[in-house]
Amino acid sequence: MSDRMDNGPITFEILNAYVDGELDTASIAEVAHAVAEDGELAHQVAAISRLRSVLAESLDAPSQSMPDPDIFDDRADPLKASLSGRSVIAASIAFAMFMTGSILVSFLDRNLKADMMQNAWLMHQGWSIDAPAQTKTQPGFINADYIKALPEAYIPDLTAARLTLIHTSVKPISGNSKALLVGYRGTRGCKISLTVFPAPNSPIDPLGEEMSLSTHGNSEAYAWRAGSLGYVIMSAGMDSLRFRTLARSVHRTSRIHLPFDSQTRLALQKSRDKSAPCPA
Amino acid sequence: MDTERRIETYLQRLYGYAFSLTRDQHRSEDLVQECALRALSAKKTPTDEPAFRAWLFRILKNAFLDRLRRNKTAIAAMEDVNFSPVMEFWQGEERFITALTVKIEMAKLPLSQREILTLIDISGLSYAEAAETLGIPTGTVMSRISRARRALLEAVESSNIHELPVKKKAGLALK
Repeated sequence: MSDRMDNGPITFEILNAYVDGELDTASIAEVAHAVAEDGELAHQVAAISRLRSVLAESLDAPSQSMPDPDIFDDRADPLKASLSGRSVIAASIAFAMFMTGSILVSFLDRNLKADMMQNAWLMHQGWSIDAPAQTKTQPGFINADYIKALPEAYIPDLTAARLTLIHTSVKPISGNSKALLVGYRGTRGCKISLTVFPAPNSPIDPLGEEMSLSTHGNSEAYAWRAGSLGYVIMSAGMDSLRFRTLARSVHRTSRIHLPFDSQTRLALQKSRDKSAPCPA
Repeated sequence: MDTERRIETYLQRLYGYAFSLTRDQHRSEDLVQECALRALSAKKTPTDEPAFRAWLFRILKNAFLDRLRRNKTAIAAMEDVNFSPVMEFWQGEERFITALTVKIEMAKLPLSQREILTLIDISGLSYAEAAETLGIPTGTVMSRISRARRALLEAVESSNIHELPVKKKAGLALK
């Protein structure tokens, strides 16, 4: 509905319209670019997005039914005509057992810089093999202290894919850089790692803006650049089609810093329902 | 789809909106019923779904205002609160935005802010649909929702109700 013809500063009001999908295409691109480059803007967008999603799930309504036309004559006693029947189905997420088997893969790939992928893969193993003992994160929440380590990073909520955020850590990588590692666990043994790290553009940059796939055995990883950050999402054994759908969704959201839209959430649910559980 | 079925798909969201206006379960249920009845008895209904949705929410709002007038309740409660036009960024921490705190603090907001938050964030109306429902320009919706969210974020941030911090086990310190 709104455009930004004056190219003025990006205000809190504009960020709200951006999160609500109320800006025109040119303004979306402008704000998305600014958000990707500015940690403070990214923080604001994350806060607005979180508030939206919390509010959207806050409706604690008793089931409503259509009125009986007879109460046209009996409005003095509204309760007489109200409310019965269908119950509100509360959403619940059940946690399943972890797969505990060790997965040791030498993750070298022709298309991606080998040490970067190896680092990401080692980090994945680090939390996923002994996930219950190492879990430091309240399920579904990410500690703000971790976000501060890489404030421009966008950490998506994957509950639409029945994956719950259960691990967050910050790991030193080359030089003084730090990578943010986030682990998600599914209800059928799947574990996903998302690693975000600073990736300054350079002539030997192994990352492109489009997703690049690396595979080894039943393990897969997609890597890409979003602004000045690199993202690697990894899985061991997740159904390839499901993982691709998931990676594409995360790829998109990492660029626009917005939660999944309803179409994407539906696609994630469907791909999960169609896929086989992850092997133990 | 007939009108009854179309209305049925919005009953829960209408209840959410009604609750934001009344803060009372029974009065909200009553308002939803009255809204549905008024909609069912209308001679014409919008065929376009967004227009139909905005029309339903407007009916509910009108039913609420009618009751306010009947009860001689202060209409001033519906007036928007004046805020500074400068909308600086929120400085709080995202981890404080939890379901419990949001719910508690939202109930303390002025009616106009609860209303816009409910229409946009809970009922899922677009700015244009909310503007149509409230009878205000779309630009006003844009500023009103940002003010309401900011107020709620600040209330959440300063709330003394927070989830307990997660204990960190010894030996698990980050490098």
